[in-house]
Amino acid sequence: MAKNYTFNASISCSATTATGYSQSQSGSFSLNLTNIDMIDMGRAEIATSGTSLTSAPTFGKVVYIRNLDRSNFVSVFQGNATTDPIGIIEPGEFLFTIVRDTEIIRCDADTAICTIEYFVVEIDSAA
Amino acid sequence: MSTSLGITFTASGSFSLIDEDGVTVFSHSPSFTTTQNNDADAEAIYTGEQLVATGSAGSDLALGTAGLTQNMNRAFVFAKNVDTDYGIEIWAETGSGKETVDLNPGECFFAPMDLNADGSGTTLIAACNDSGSTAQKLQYLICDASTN
Repeated sequence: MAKNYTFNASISCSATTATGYSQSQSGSFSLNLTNIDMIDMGRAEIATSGTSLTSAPTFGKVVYIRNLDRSNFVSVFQGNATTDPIGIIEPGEFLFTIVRDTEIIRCDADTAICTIEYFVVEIDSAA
Repeated sequence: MSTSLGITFTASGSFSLIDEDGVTVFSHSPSFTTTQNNDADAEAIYTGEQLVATGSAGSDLALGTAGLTQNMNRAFVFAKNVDTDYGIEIWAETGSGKETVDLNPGECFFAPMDLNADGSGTTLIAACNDSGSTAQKLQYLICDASTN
């Protein structure tokens, strides 16, 4: 049964140089999600030949992926092809994005199977 | 030279989903800090606010010129739509492929972006207000990341 949800996100980033120069930015927001059916989350093994994380959403999705592997990177794409990249996540890194379209999310491990932590949550047209 | 320009990058986040009954469906609090990157791919930091143009051409945010020593491969990108009217899309190449993110007013994102997937060597991070009729303000922090 579809339910209503509140999604909360907060992100902080900073870049610091060896010369002492530093820049930081942060942001936070909430989304009220109505009649949501699709919430995919957990840990998944990602194949070098590509692994889909979710089925196609109706309006869009919020996406979080963290690479738990110790040595290999994971590439993240919109759709089943590898022509539309979202990011490349080295071990320990994560990404968070919001994409308002009907594509799936695909991940490809670099040289060997990688484990990721993730969620993909469908959003409604009003979010 | 690049060895004296080493960059350390830190990112952290907190994400949660709560259902209509008040039950927390998930909660994640990831963070990481890179080791100091002293290589030639750790030279550029771009930050500020920009009025993002309408139309598919949009506005270039950072990087862009082939032949420079800044990283043509990967960059840490944080961006936030600080305007009030329309969504802003961000690509790794002007007008090419599908967008990395669609940010409605108030929303933000973070990703280690793949900058040169099309192999063009002209590495851009571009943003546009594709659906609105007036330029929208975007706040951003873009930092060279290690080559994968």
